[in-house]
Amino acid sequence: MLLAFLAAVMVAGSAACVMAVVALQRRPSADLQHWSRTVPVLGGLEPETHAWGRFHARFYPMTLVLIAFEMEMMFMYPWAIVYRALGIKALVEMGVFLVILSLGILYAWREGGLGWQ
Amino acid sequence: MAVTWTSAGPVPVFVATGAGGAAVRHALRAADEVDLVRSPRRACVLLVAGDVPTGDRSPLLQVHDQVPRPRGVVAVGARGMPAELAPITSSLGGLVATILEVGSQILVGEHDSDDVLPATNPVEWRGVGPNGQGGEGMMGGVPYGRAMAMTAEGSDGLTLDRLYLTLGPWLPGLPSGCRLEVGLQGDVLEEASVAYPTTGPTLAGQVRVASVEQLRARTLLGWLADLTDTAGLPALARRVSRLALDPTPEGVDAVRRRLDRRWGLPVATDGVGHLERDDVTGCGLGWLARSRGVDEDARRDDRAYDGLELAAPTDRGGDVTGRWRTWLDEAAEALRLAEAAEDRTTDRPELPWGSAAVTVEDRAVAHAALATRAVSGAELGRAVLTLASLPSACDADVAASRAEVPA
Repeated sequence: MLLAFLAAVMVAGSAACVMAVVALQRRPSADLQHWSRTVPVLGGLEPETHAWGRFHARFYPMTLVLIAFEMEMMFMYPWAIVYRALGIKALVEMGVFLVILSLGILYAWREGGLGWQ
Repeated sequence: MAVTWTSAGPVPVFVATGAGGAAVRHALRAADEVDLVRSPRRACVLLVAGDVPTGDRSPLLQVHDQVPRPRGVVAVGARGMPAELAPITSSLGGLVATILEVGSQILVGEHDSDDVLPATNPVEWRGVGPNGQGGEGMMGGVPYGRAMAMTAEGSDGLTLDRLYLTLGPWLPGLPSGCRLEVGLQGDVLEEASVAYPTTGPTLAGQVRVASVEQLRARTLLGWLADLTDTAGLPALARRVSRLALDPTPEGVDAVRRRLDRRWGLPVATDGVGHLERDDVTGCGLGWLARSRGVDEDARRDDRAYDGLELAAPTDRGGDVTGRWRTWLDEAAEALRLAEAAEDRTTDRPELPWGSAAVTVEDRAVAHAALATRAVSGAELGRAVLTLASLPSACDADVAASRAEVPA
């Protein structure tokens, strides 16, 4: 009964919040819809092309490298569980794995993948 | 109606600086009652200072309409204002009081400046696609008179959309009247073209050496204040602007010590906007040549400077840091020369922005060519910083085209 009451309160509260947001939101006034105030500030001139273009995110190689090397942690969790059972063999195998990954980082570095551009 | 400021805080002012309006910008930056904003959207008062060239009048109207209403327009020493604007004129001395008065009137609804451009898009919708585009898919067409961005091969070998813009002539951070045409892929300038105004201060007749050197110190420190502001250090820019209005050797030394700190302006300017020695030699921009150690200085052959012991130029490297360090060197030396020059006069001085023997047009062409070289392939932020380090005579503390060197 109590749970049902709390659920009802939550639903009612959420609905009230949504209605309040809708009711209180302010539409852009006619003043803000004036053409000059909708174009980007470039110093008095307007762009020659539409802004609807694909932005060249030049940092994406770095993000891909980051994701790739973050994934190595996924393999360390199961390794950590069996580490005590396998002993030095597990240490060596993880060492080889990390060396390969490090070579990959050095390669990405040499190719400029870690630069912002 | 959008009131974008409160009576308790400083009045937000957007300054549109034409040739010869630099002193106004520095005076306002130094004033506590005024907040110099970098976008008209954040302003309440549009201030026009200096000359407004014919070709820059229409962009000024656009800037005016981008200031939210209610707004005010104030002009100081402005020549060539568009007829559509009715500014309140002020002198430099009474400028802050005028701005505060206009701000108060706006607050109580007694002052406003009407829009001057049409409220609707001047170009009709001509798209055919279902989502606003003009042609097939995402590409092609000219909706609202503007082409959709088309692909082009970039410097990294990828073929992606290129956005064409022209920044200026009233964009803070760029030199007065400067226009930067860019083809952007992401934030990199794959194409760039810089144009400087072909008008500017000229000098005729005999002038006092001390006045020219004072002008040099004020101008170079003013350039440094603008560069510091563009680099995102407004408090330091305010301090340097105050120094530019009343330069002293002690003040220059103090600013130099502040700028030499490890984390500061050099972080933003080191390695940016590099120019080779050949690029800057023979351009008519004496200070720029001297920043690379090239002894290009009309004062060497000027008998008015005999015995004043001009320092030999030092190669400061070709980046933005090297340029502002040269400004500090030359400002300090200019103050020393002004003190030592007494009543000497000259008729062909080395002006702060270059030799008086080079015409304004020739200097503008050479300036634009080397600025284009310096910004090509740079990120947009670094390109703007580079242009802030390549100001022109229009940013000098002297009224444009009036042959005035304050006594």
